[in-house]
Formats: sequence, structure tokens, C-alpha cells
Amino acid sequence: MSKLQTKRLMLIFSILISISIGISILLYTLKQNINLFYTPSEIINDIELKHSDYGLKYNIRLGGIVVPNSISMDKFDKLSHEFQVTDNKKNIKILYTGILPDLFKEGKAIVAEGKMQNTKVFIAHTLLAKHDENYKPPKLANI
Amino acid sequence: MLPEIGLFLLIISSVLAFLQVSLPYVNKDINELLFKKLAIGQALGISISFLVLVYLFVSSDFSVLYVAKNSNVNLDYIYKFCALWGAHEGSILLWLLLLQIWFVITACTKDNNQYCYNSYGFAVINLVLLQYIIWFSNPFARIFMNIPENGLDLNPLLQDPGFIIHPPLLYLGYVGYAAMFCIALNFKNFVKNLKLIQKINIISWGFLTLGITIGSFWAYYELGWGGFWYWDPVENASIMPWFLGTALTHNLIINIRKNILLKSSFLLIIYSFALSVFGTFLVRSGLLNSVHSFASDPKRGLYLLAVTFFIIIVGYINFFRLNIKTKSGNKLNIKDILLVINGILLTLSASIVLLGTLYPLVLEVFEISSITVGPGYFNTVMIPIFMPLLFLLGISPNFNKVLNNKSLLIRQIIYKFIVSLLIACFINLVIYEIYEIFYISIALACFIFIWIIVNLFFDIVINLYNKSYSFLKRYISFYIAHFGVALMLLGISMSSMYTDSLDVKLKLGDKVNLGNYEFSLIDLKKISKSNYKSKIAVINVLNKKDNTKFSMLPEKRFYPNSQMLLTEVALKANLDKDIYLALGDVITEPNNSYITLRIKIMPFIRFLWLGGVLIFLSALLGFIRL
Repeated sequence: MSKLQTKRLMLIFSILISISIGISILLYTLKQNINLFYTPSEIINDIELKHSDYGLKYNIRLGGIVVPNSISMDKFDKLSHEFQVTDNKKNIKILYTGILPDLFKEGKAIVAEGKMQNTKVFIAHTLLAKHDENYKPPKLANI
Repeated sequence: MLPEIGLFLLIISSVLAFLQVSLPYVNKDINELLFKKLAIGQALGISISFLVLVYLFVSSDFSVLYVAKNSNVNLDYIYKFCALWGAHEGSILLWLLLLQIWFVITACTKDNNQYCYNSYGFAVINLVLLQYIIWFSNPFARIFMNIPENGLDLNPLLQDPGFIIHPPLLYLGYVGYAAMFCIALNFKNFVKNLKLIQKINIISWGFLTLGITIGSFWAYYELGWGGFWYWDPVENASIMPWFLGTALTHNLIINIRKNILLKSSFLLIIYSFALSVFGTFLVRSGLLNSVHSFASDPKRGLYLLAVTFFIIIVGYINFFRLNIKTKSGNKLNIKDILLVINGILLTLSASIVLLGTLYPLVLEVFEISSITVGPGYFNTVMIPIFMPLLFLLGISPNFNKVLNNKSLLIRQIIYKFIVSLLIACFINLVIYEIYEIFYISIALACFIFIWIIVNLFFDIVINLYNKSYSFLKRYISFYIAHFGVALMLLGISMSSMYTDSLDVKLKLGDKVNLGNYEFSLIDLKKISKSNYKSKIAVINVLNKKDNTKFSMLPEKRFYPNSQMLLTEVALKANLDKDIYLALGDVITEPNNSYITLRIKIMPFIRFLWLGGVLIFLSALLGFIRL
């Protein structure tokens, strides 16, 4: 190999290496920031039957219909809210501290972001409100 | 009868578009005059059809499904008119209408016999989109049974001045990318058309910038959340063409001066247009959910996806036929290299946003899982790209003039670097004094902000000293736009790191402290308007530093037509900080009345939008002077 060829080979190698490092950083960051979407029965099945602890360890999104008459506010004058969501198969209780979004209503779909505390309770740090009151997450479209 | 006329006019326009598209295949010699007439015919048909829809909206003709769904008798006239672009069908028609402006201008420009080829691409796009409107997204569809008396409502979130200007501005930007694509299809005259493309590009880019800026301001005060950017799929759909458009704006400078790097401009044009259509597909398909989603329809999604591929394929066919002879001896100098790096970084940004937006879609299609990509991804990846990009933006004024004395130039840059470093250190100390928290990202952002300002300042001062006014005049857009970017950097970094936020529950007479302010709930009021009822909290704010008092009135509105609650935030805007109050629940029972309230104090957030407006002004100036 001539000197020029070696030089070119090195150049190509270094470009390839830097591109692959770049892409792996990108994918790693992507993986850190994705939120898996579950319905109540899916996450309960996941934990109880498959013994997966994903929902307990990482942030997930939980989507369901707010069960009528299940909303209660904490007595201690804080902003804690407690309510049940359902996918008509199983229910999960959601604990949330903060201001409820405008579109939060009984019988309407809601998406909560947070972690499972155990198989019955979900601690939400964010409730997502959509612009459209008739919005339903795709997985709940049939309910 | 009127709605049918509207649809009929669209069909006629589509026939005219078909004629214009097919004529060159029948008769090799294009008759310029005929082409012009066909163009004006299409534009007239679409405009009148648009006016018909406007009339249907203003006169509240609820026998038309689209009007009945998006308007209401009790709306103000201005919102009755704007409700036209409140959902998908009308938006697309508005988009097409705005495209006709460029169509007519291009078709009527008579510089050269070859120029009527320029309007050919427009006819293709008209034909494709008119089919879409007629078959899949017809705004004139009728209701035959049970015609509603009042109509549903315009989504209350949209009953706001932001809605009057945000969509048209954004579309003015998007159609510019479509227009450039159409003109680029005339690949034989690509070099001749560069000036025209540059002109369209600069003003469209300006409108897109202003549209995005106003959209972000609107989201800030209307959604009751206090943020200005969510990395929502629709926002991504607008920022991707913006990144590419910014790259194009800079690349065209090299193109025109040296007649090189033309192919990269061609590709940027194809992709900025394709991505803006693809963004529309993403939302309409119902595959991704966005805060902007209207009712979605898979058929529309499929058609728009096909259009996206059509654009890319047609674009590439012409790209490979592009035959440009570059003059030898036109080499890149350091300024050009900086511009190229700028283009690469911006294209990279667009690809990263595209990856984050598409990732959930890919997993969904292969049924691996249903996910969303959080803002964390975009923020983490964009910052390391944008910091070097902005550093280069800062250094750029040094290369506007060709300096032969290289060592002097390097010395000047080093001096400026040291000066900015010192000022940045000092300012960081001040920030630390005020907020008592230190962030590395803020220190870096602060340095880059000062670096940009110092470079711009020195350059302007030196030119003033040398009395080179013509130079300053020529580069005025450059100075304004880059100063705008610096202001945006200031607004984004300060407000995202130093915002004070608090959610509280307040009874009548309760007080709460945040920052230097004391907030007390004085009164709760109820009022009724024609189409909504409102609960208003009267909150007195005391500035403890100088003992000034003022009151703020956050509102909670209820719109009975659409059964929707809406938070109307109260804002006290200063240049250095915004105080932001958003009401949660308002309970007004006799012995237990309270509110829940979100209080935010956001430093320097105004600079974000100020910067955006400056960038728009620079584009406007550039357009006028071009």
C-alpha cells in the first residue's frame, strides 16, 4: 500500500468510527427518553404474569378512562388527587399531585406519565391533556 | 347551491391543471400565453372557491358539514371567518390558495422564453393537491338530514388572536418551499432561476420563522402550561423545514456568488418541501398523536404519504438530470467553509428531529410497542449540536471582509475571545449572586451569547469608524438576524433553567410567596359572555423589593357549546421576567371556596420571541433589498 492509500484508509476509518459513535450516542439518548404506553390490564399482566419490573423501575405512560365517582381530593389541603382509570378489564388507582388539566373529566380518556408503585397504584408526575376532548389513545379507541 | 359551486370551481381548476400538465406532451412547443391563461384560470378558480367557503362560514351555513363542525352562530365575526382554517379541510384549501400567489407571479414573469417552464411544476402540485381536496378532504360536503341550528363550536383554544395570524403565516412559509420545489423542477434553468429562488426563499423563511415564533408564544399563554416548545410532532414538522430552510438561505449565498454547491441547494429544496408535507401526513394519519391533532383519517394519511414519496422521487429524477458545469477556479474560502459547516449541522439537526419523530411510528408499524419520545431526547441531542453552531455564528462577522493580513485577523479573534470570556465570567458571577445556583449549560450559553454580541459589536464599530456605511447597509440583515439568534439563546437558556414554579391551593385571603413576590387571593368573580361563562380570581401581587402592588386576573372559562373548560392565564410581562398565573380548580361553595393556582416566574422569556421577530424583520429587509 502506498502512503496515499494508507492515508485515505485512515480517513475512511476515522469517519466511520465517528459516525458510529455519533449514532450510538443518539440511540442511547433515544432509549433513555422513550415512554412505553400501557393500558391498565397490560401493565398488571406484565407485572403479575411476566414478572417484569419495567413499569416499577422506569417512567411509563398509562392510558385509561377515568372511572366516574372515583375522584377524591386529599384532606390535608395539598394538591393531591386520587382517581381510578380503567380499560374495562382492570382498574388502577392513580395518585397525582398538582393542577388537573382542563380536559380531565370523569368518563374521558387520560394519559398519565409516571411509575407503578405496586400492581394497584400508579404515581403520576404528569397528566397529559390533549386539545381535543374526544381524544383517545389508539389502544383505547374501542372502549 | 353555493357549496356545489365551490366544489365545481375546484374541479374546473383541477381540469385546467391537468391540461397544463399534459399539454407539453401533446404539443412540443409550449405556448407561453396559453400557459399564463391556464395558470390564472387555476388561481381564479381556487380563489373564488375559497371566497365561497369564506361566505359559507361568515353566513353560518350549517348545511355544510365542515362549517357545522367548526363554527357556531354566537361566534364573533372575525372568528367565524378564521374558523375556516380551524380544521384540516379548510387549512389545506388555504395552503393551496396561498400557493397560487407564487404560481401567478412565476407564470407572469416574462424574462425569458424558457421561463414558462417554471410554472409547470406548480400545475403538477395543483393537480395533486386538488385531487386530494376533491376526493379526501372536501370542505364543501353537505349534511342532508338533521341540519344543526347552531353548529358545534370552534375549539375554544382557537378563539384567540393567535389563531387569526399563526396558521396563515406558517402556510405562507410552507408554500414558499413548495414554490421553490416547483421552480427547481425546471432543472435546465436552475442556475438562471437562482435569484428568483433566493427571493422566494428569504421571504418564506421569514414567514416560517414568524409563524413558528407566534405559535410558540400562543402555546405559552393559551395552554396554561407555561412552556413554549413541546417537541410535539406538529412542531417538529415545522422546525424540520425551518432547519433546512436556514441551511438553504446560507447555501444560496455561496451559490449565487460562486456558482458552486448548487446540488446541495437542490437537495435542500426537495427535502424541505417533502418534510413539510410529511409533517402533515404524520398528524393526519392518526399514527402519531399530537396536541394539534384534528380528527384523523387513515385514507388522508396514506394519500399524503404517497405525495411525500412522489415529491422525493420526482425531485431525485430531476436531481440526477441536473447538469451543472462548475467553472474551475471557484474554490471555497474560509467564509464558505463556515457556511458549509453551518449547513451540515442544520441538516444534522433536522435528521435528529426526524429520527425522534419517526421512531415511535416505526415501532408501531412493526408492532413492537407503543411509545412516545420525550423532550429529553431532543434537548440532550440538540444542545451539543447547537453550541458549536452558535459559536460559529458568533465568529462569522470576522470573515465578511476579505482580509489579507491573516495574523492580524487571528490576533483580533483571540482578543475578542478573551474579552468575551472575561465579560461572561463577570455575568456568571452576577447570575450566581441573584439565583444562587450554578449551571454549566448556563455558563456556556452565557459565554456564547456574549461572544456573538462582542463579535457583532466590534464589527459594527470598526465599520462605523472606517466610515464604510455601504458595507454596513449591505450586511444589515446579517446583523439583525444574528442579533435575533443571540436574543433567542438568552431567552431559551435563562427561562428554561431559572424559572420559579409553584402549585398552590388558596382560600380567600390566603397569601403565598414566590421569589420577590407575595400573592394574595382577594376575590372570586363570575361573569357571563355570549358564548362562555367565566370564573375570575382577583389576585393582588406585592413586589417586596420596591413595595409596588398590582392585581392579576387569571380566568377559568366554560364553553357550553363544546362543553369545554379553558384556562385563561394572567400575565404580567416585563422585559426581564414574566409572572404567569394559571388557574386550576375554582370552587365557590359558600363556606368552602378556594382555588388551585400555578404560579411561574420566568426570567428573560420575552427575548425568545423578540429574537424571532428580529429574524423575521431581517428576512423582510433582505427580501426588499434583493
